Amino acid sequence: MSNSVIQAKNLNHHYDEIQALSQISCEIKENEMVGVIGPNGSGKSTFLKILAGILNPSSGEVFLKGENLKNYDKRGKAKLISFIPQSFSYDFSFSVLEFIKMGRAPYLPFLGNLSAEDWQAVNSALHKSDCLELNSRKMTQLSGGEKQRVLLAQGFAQEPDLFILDEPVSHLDIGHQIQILTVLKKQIFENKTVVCSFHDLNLASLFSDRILLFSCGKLTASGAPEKVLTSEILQEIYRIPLKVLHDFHSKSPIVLPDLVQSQFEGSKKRP
Amino acid sequence: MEISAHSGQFKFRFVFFLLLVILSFLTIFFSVALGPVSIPFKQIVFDLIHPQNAKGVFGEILLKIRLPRVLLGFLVGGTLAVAGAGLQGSLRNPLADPYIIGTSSGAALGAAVCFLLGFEQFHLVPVFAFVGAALSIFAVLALSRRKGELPVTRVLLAGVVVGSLVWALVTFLLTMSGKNIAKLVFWLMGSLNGRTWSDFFVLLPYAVGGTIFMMLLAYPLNLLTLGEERAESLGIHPEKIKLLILLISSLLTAAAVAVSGLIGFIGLIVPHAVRILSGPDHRTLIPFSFLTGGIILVWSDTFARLVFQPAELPVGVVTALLGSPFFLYLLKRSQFA
Repeated sequence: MSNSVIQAKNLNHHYDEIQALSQISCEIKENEMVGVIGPNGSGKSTFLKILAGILNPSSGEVFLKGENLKNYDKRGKAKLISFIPQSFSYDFSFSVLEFIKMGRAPYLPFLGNLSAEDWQAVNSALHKSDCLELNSRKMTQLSGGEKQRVLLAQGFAQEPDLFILDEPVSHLDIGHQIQILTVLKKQIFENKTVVCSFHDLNLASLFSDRILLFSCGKLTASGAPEKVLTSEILQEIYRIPLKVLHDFHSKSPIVLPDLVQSQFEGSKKRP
Repeated sequence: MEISAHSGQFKFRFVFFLLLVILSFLTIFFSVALGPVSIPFKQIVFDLIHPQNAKGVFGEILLKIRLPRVLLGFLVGGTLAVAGAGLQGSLRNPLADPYIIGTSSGAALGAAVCFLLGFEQFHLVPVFAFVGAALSIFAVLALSRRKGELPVTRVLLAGVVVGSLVWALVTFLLTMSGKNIAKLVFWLMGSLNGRTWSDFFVLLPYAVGGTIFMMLLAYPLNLLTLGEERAESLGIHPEKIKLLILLISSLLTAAAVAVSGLIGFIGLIVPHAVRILSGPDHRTLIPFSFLTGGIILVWSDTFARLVFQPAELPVGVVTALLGSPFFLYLLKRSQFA
């Protein structure tokens, strides 16, 4: 049995009057890739931010390596967790290399000078994320997919134990999606842990070791993809007819809308 | 391929810095020579080396009129440029400038209150101006914040509204005061006319102190460009850093307004020009902006003094003529250089 990296206990959160999370408890273990799914507004982002220590929950606690997250200072936390926010826009013309170097911030003195060790981390981040050929380009000249890759490289340079990512691939094409998720998945074998939210259920299914399913601020189901991604559970939550197939090779569940049962049936089968 | 410290880039920045220093000296040297009475270069060198021996018309004009005005102009330009760089970086807003988002008007209100209360002889103008500037900047942020974010255009709109309101208050106060407002109005329009050494020494500590403080926060300011969530995940307190930078920007703006009135657009143009030449890293952007701001404002003022001799334009008019087309260009691109 491997050790717990991060553990949430009875998390509740509300924005003004709106309850965003209620009674969330879960545990994430070392070397896991955990997918977080759920409809829009189900509390995924709120949960990830609380887990990363960016947002304080209204009540409940988070334990990082057995120690209450509140007892870490910001820099200490930043050496262990890298949080990559959703929808990242960036208008400053830093070079890609300078941008990735900022990932070393938690280790640097006040004016931000890099040591030999920091340079090593930056180089390895460039390699891992396949950003070497981009390093002298400017951030403002990158495409969406390249920007996301560079942001990931900055996270790698941070050398955390835990990556928390909020929909890192949602607005990318399938080529870039698979590229980024593959790079992330490889982190598992380097003793890292990844928690990542998805909109695409099939990507979640293919890449996650375990899935957390949120709905209306509650953790409705959690477990291996084939346990959580069943048509009964999903239809209840997404409120449309869905069918679940199984990929021949990976045995991963694949979710498709069931058009035969839905009201779109007529429009598709026009004679 | 291994990548390590980029010595080429470092060398470029060092050369650029030296160039700016040399240009600064040349700017000051030439602009003290130019005016209704031209002073021969030899005389300037001679008088500056031995100021105690400087006598006659040249000496009087040089040391009592031109030099304080030019040096003050340099400090004001540098101060406004650094304030603009701080605002743009911390608000992630390429169009932020103390004049455009109403900080300068707030400072003017504070300064006007100080004049009306009759406290100006105690060197309290910058302090009052600072209170006004800080209040207006926080009013703008409170009005434009939406779902925890500060959208670029909302900040501009709120700045226009707060700026006009504050400006109306300034005009109202000055009109009702019954004092000699002609002088105050000229001051508000942004001018370096008739400034003395005492103005220079009022501004000096704020300009130098504020700029050094801003430079110390340059690296956290780089991280702040990533947005608050990512910055926090890299181990800084984004809210605290942002607050500090906004306060320093207010202080710099206030001190500049207190001695020279409302001079716009320097804080907008200069950081953009410097980013194009040497990149957005605030560790170089801030000192480079200070020097470039000084150079540009001194030349604008020299132009303002010379074109319609013997009449003189307020320098704020010249910077506005330079700056507003640039603002429109940026508005269209809405992106950092």
